[in-house]
Amino acid sequence: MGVDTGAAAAEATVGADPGLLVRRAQNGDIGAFEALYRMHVGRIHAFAVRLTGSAAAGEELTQQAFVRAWRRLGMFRGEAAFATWLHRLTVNLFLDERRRASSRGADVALELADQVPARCLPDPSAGLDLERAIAALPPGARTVFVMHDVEGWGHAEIAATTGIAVGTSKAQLHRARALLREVLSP
Amino acid sequence: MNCTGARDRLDECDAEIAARGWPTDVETHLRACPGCRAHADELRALLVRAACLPREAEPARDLWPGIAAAIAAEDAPRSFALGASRRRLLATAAIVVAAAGVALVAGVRIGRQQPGEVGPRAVRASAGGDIDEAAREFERARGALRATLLERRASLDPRTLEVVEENLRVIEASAAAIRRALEERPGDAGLGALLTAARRQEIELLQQATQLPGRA
Repeated sequence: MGVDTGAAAAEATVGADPGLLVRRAQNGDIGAFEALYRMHVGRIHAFAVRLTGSAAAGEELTQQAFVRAWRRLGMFRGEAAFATWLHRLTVNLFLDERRRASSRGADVALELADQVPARCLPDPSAGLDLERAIAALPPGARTVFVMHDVEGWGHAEIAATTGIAVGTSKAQLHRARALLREVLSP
Repeated sequence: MNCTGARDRLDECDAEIAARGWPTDVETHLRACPGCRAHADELRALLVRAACLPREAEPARDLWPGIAAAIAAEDAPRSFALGASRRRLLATAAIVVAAAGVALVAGVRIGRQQPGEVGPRAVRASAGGDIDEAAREFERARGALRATLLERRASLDPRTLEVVEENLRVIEASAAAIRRALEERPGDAGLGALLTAARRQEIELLQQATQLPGRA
């Protein structure tokens, strides 16, 4: 039996209570899970693209996040909103990938990642928009900026989710804002 | 408040504060310090723009097929916390497997030691020769239950249905193997008992499957 159950998902979405969809998905209902995917993919994808700074990497992260969400649905207890749980899962997946890259020597941990920017910041005169400027931030600063200033997380929650200290989160945010102001100021 | 203190306080502000207005003590400093005022204005513009970024952005392509393929490729039941209906079905499957084992042992003993004392009517029929009647009775019940399951198919949890169908395939394969053995040894009471047990298991599984609650 395949798992591409578009009709079931459409049926599941119509007037569906998100909590009920989650419970059905937890019981193995792939149609309900697809309905949850359709409800949340826009936000998770936007978040993932900003975290990674790339449309292609953002799509990949989104896809992986939903696969991991399916695997871990049994661990979702409903203490937070499902959307919040998905966001946390996406951040953790992103950080896991960065740690793996670090172990391959491709990157370093969040605290150390920004000693050198991942790439040169764009020329201010180019008039790049905010999205592109965020994408050009060093990874650690970008992560904290997206979580705090775009998604509205507090430093304590960022620290708890990413495993960095609250002070590090504040420092990363300061750095991100300074870099963005520099890039975006006329 | 000096410039360092003012900028530290500004760092702690978010878009909501920036839009509403800086804290009073910071504002007092800003009125007297053009440098910090410019800094604060840039920060406000940035925070407001960041807060106004679209929270949703659909991917350029539908990612669901890839997600569904990845899920299908995994051995999901092994890592998935089972829901109640799936637990029931897997428990049923476990009972079927256990019962098959018991039937196998019992059937072998019956076949070797007491071929005429097998108990249930259908088993007696198998052992005693009225195989056709038992087979017809089984096929009628099986056909009716299969039809019911087919009708309810769309309303059942697909993964639960998958578990049911997998177990039905296992039972059918067992029954087919027993029938082949019976063709070689038609009078073997043990094999007859095993075939009856397999049929009973199939009927019980179908009965349970047709009584499962539909998706809400």
